[in-house]
Amino acid sequence: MKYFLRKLGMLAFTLFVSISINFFIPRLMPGDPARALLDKMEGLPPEQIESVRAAFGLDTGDSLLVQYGKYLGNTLRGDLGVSFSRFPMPVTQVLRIAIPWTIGLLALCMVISFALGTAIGIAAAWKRETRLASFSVGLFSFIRSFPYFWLGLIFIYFFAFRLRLFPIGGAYAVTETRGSAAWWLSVLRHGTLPALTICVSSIGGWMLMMRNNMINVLAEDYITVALAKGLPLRRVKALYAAKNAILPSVTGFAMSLGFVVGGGLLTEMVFSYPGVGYMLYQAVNAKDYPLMQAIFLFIAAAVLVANFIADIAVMILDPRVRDGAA
Amino acid sequence: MGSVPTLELRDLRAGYSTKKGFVRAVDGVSFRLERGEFLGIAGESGCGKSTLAYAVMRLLRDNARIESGQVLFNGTDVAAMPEAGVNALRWTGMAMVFQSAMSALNPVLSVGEQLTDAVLAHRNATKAEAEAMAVEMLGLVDINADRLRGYPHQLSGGMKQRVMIAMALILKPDLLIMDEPTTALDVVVQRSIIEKIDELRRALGFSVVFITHDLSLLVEISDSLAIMYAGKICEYGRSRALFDEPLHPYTEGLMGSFPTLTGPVVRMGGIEGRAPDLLSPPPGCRFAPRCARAFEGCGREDPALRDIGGGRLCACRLREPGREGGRR
Repeated sequence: MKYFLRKLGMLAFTLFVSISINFFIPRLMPGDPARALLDKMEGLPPEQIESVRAAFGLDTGDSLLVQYGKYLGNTLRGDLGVSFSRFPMPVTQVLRIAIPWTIGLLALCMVISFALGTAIGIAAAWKRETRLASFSVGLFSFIRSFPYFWLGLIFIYFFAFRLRLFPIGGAYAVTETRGSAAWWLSVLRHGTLPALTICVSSIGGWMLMMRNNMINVLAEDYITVALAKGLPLRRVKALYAAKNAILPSVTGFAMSLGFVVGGGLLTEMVFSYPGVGYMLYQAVNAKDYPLMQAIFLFIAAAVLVANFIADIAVMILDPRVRDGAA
Repeated sequence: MGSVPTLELRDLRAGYSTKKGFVRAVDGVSFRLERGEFLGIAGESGCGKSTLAYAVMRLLRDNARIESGQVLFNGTDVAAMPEAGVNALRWTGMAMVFQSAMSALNPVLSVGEQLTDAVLAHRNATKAEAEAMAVEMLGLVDINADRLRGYPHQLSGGMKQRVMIAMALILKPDLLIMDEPTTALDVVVQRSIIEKIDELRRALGFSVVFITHDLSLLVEISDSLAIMYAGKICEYGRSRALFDEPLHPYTEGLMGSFPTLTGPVVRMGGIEGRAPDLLSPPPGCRFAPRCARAFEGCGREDPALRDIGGGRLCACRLREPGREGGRR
């Protein structure tokens, strides 16, 4: 419990720090978002420029500290400002459109590839003398070295462009009514290639990581003890070997869940998939500072929350962590 | 003595395949262990005593294997059994306590789970029955029953080893193999562990094979002793007789390498040189290169372990009939 509260406190603190950094970093950058926005509106009469400034909240003569205070208050209330490029939509609303796609596609794929990769890693370590196991190590090392975006382009070229089995980009067919069965089917069809890309390029890492952990754990004395006890091999494999070997993977998994948002950026760009990564790309192109800031905040929060979840998972799995011994 | 012994090894050979060849760590070992007997096996590190223990339990994995010979447990050859048969015998017939108390327990399972899982695997018992057995065994090794819910990292080294002993005895095996069970513990704890084992043996009647590099541990509690050198037994006999009058020069050397607490102050002996490489053991007697009393014949012919009367066996040409050092 003490461990849990400590981690919760840590989460709150790091979130606060990342929110603050998210405020100060853009203000340390050369250039001025207000000027950039206004430059785009050249030729507008001055009173209209003034009203635009007011609408975006760029008219303040406040000091940095006062701005910071206002920013913190607004952030806590969930008000992240208004998007430049999709005016007058609030940034949070823009994000709300993108997040389900990212969570649905990326997070689901990560969970699948983690589960599959870990299971294959366990099997490959357990039967490591077999030819199939050594072959799988070679295969997954090879697959792992494919970059996400490259694999995505290859898939698009063969399956979408040449064979025309799947759509080239987007997340759903615009011609179907949202929510209808045909629309859901189109979501699946659009999601297949990006999902394959992410699964294939990330599964190798999980497999190799779990296999290596497992092989180290299998050399431990308690494995010999478990075998000497004549326990069913299934139990030795699951509760003596895998339960110990999975601890580092769980931590790694949560970290990558957070980074998925960033790592998925390339995949989303390649497939024009309307998730957070693609939106960030558009925001950068459009110099949409409030949106960028909100996305950065979202990524930072995702990493932190995922880490927190990993800490809790490890706490459940490892009694030493529960006691604060490790 | 006519009954079937708990354990009998017949010309057991076992070792490890390496890139350079087969390392025969156990080379033709034979002995009998009667019911309730306490046999100590002593020798330097690398003499093959742990390999012997693992071979008896059929625990040699990866590049290690039993090459030839028989491991007769209650008259059945464990070395020739199918894996399923061995697995059924493990912990029910013979159990083992390992060297490293610190790492022999699974850190992510509770003490209770680790005590009861062997019961549940081998006996048709309910969880509650298994836990009752675990509580009883913990009581025997003086550990409080509330430790069942605890985890290994909450225990001290000595407690872990006592939990391990409770675990090994929970199914009342006929044979308990102890592979240097006290090496990782301090001297005071060593003492209490050994006394506990002796006490339990008297109460439960199992046989013990106790492997150690520290001969002094075995002085008081072992019935018989086997001294191992370079994969072979070089001397065997009742403990008392062996201590009073060691026959093999290596045994003498081993006994000269530990201090007594009560006896007169003597200069510590020790043995010059190091144990031979088992990949290519020296010709003739394996101890000859380090033996102060070797003579010209020792380097040629490997002396057999021969019976020299009084239940004593010795593999040394000094003890052959007609030699000046032979027993009268």
